[in-house]
Amino acid sequence: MDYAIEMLNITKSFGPLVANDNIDLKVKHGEIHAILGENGAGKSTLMSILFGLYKADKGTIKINGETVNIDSPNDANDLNIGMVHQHFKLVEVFTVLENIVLGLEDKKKGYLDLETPREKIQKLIDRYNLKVDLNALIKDISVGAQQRVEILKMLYRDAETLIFDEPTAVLTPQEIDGLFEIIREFAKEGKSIIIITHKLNEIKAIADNCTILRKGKHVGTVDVKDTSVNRLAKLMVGRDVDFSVEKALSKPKDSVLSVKNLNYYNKDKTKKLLNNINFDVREGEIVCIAGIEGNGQTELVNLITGLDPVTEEGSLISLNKEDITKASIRERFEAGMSHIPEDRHKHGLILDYNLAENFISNTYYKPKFQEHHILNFENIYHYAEELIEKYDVRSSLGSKSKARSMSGGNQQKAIIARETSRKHNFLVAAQPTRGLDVGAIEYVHKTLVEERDRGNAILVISLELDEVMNIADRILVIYEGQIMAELDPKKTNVEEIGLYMSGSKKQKVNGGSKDGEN
Amino acid sequence: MEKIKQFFSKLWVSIKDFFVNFNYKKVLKIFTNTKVLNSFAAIFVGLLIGFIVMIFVAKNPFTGEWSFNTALDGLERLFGGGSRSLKNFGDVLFKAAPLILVGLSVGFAFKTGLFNIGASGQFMVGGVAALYAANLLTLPTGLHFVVAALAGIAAGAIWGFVPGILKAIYNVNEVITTIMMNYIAMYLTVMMVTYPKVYDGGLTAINTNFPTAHTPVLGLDKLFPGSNIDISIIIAILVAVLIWFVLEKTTLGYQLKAVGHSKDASKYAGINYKKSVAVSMMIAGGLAGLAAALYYLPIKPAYFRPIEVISPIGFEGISIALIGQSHPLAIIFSGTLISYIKEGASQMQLFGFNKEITNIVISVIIYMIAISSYLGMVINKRKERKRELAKEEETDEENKEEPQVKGGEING
Repeated sequence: MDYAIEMLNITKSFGPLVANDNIDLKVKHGEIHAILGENGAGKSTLMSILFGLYKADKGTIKINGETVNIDSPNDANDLNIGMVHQHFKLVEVFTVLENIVLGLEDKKKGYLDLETPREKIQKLIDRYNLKVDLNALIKDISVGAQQRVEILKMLYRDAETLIFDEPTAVLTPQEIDGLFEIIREFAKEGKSIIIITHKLNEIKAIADNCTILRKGKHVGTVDVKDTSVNRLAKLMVGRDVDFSVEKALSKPKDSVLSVKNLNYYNKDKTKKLLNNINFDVREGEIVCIAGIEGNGQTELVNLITGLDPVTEEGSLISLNKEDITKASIRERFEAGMSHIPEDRHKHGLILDYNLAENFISNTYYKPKFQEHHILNFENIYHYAEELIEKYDVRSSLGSKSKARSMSGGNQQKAIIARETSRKHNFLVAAQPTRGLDVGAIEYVHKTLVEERDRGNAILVISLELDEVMNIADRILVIYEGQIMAELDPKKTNVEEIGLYMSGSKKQKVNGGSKDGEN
Repeated sequence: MEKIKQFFSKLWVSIKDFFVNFNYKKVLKIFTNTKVLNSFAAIFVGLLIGFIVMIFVAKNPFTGEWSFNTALDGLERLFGGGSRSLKNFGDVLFKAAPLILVGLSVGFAFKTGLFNIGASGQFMVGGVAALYAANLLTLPTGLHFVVAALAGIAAGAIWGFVPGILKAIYNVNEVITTIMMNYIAMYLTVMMVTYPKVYDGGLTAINTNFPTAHTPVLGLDKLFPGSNIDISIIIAILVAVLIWFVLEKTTLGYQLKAVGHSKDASKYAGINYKKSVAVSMMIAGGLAGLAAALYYLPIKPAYFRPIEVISPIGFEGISIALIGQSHPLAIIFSGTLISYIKEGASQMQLFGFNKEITNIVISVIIYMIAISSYLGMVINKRKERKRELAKEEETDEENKEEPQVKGGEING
């Protein structure tokens, strides 16, 4: 059998760490091959070797049966290997067209010629239905469109092997479907596709074969058709993974958070971002807000937590019967709110502070941590050790590690530790599992349920429908700033939620919670 | 009052702790820290390049011919001029005090995420305010100095507060506003300093005398006979320690640094971002104002002349903060170092060198620090990446060890 790509016995170590230990990867023409593994399993290293960013210590790479030497991304380009990185490599202030030709510019009499490439690119756009405006600036187009630009970049360079690094992490469900169709089209033409991912359902949906890496070792290559999602998960994590969250029936009591007639406009008041939102979150229940990204979830969280001010008259947010519509962030914390933010790097952590300092970022003024404005480091580090122990936060230097140097999962654990250890009875968790691997996701879900069972009210904003179905006691579906439906996860299904999410169906919601619903 | 007493007793305890727990390993660790080594290497290369420039321009003062020996003599002065005698070293310390404080002004702002280019303006208004207080008030000796210095601090603080509040409320970039405030300060001080009670417009063109408001000497001239030294260097060092303490040990410092590191994350944590920025700029301005007071109040002061030039000291402050890498305690040394090189350079004039050679040396040092910290960054990044990969792998392993016991076999 002739393979398009063969990576044989690839070994790569960084100092004492063996990132890739004797790994084989074989991809046929026209095959969609997934590489599955948790964070740090060695997926990216392997692809970086194929793309010429790293040089393997041992092992050979064969393209179409011939041994090749890939020393730089330019070599990879010459061998028609293209890669879409997880974080796009685009120039924000250039147009789409300029970004695509960048590095391969045509010249006419010494001047830049954009017209010849424009035709070629337009043909590619038509052929693969990669809708994107060539004259738009990158900063003005959506993330999905930016990804299409990256794909066009590869195609423009006549790539035959296409590598996608976590391509769905930034996309909405519709965009994911669109992307998969395009990828299937490529495969049909005989191109080889490699997808790096840790999302199992997507592998089931698109891949033919799947190579699984764990701790830098090659665990196996399986035929996706014959392998269940649970089996894939087991191979990836090394143990049985339970996707369903075990939880007892919720017994909601008094309302904790109450949102009434919440309206919100964008800055120049041209667009209504939140439209008359009404709901309650009660003690001992998890309310999930489901919806496609960009339908007002971020604004809703920002208004509830105080990151943005409520501007419209008549909007009311109250917490524990206390009006907090105009309260400062600290007043809200004092009133019993905890907040796991959507962006843990931007909001959740002060990256240059160490773990202990981050644990007190919203309580440093409490008598426990300061006396006469002087920080009590003894208590601070003692408290940090307690949380590290209790929440199993792992880092190289313990309480003294800089937050920046920690892995995503442990950063999230640190935030959860901070937010759930503080005195509170209401917790907002915005996309709490974004970018985490299976083990960490399980952990987050377990903690949220524990929080609920302690009698706290919990509001979760999530883009992942599986997550919503798993942990919610009540689901609110948001579409274009409106609550479209209030659903009971036991009486609904993903398809129904999907209809509300895309705005094609609307339930009459009378606002607030309905008593005796559960 | 009780609070203030508590604050200072804590401050004292932590300083005492520092000396009680003092051990040479700790100091050795500080000096082998890459950052510190970077600074030393940069200073060395700066002096070396200064020497090369000197070789080119060296002329025998008597014959006017090019002479390598003159270059060597010049270098000897540049290196050793500041420590030739106790008088010289006393003068070095005397002139270091305002430099340290201006360096602190810039460095403190850096630490809290702000770029204070306006130290010059804050210095100028602080100087005029101190001179006004010194000349117009009648107070007993000692107290008069304290009041004049406080006037300088207050004026500088106001000059820092304006850009601070503009940044806090309207998000105006502090770099632009502080530069503008420099110009306002320049014209304002020219207008104010010509007031007859403050400035003698006669031929001598000196500031009038204010015998009760001079910086106390407290017998330091006995230690450094013949020099101009007074307690300003002690004040500068104490203030540096205080700033270090505020930044590292207090809730205020925690807040200000948090805002400096990440505006968004500190907002999320409920820290008042606007107040922090305003307070931070105010403190920075106050430090520059104090520097001015110590610059214009000594018995043999520098004179405040009504000329329309922005005082260059604010820019020297940027250099000093950079060499000290914004660490308040390191700034004590970088400020003294700059003062030392300046003293050496002024002595180089004996051999026919322009004292501007110091500026060359200082700029080269800054360039070298910029380059070395860049190189250091690249090296560190590579190291860190390896470390991170190693760590991820480790935690990965740990994560799985336990479950594997429970989870049973796995094979591909």
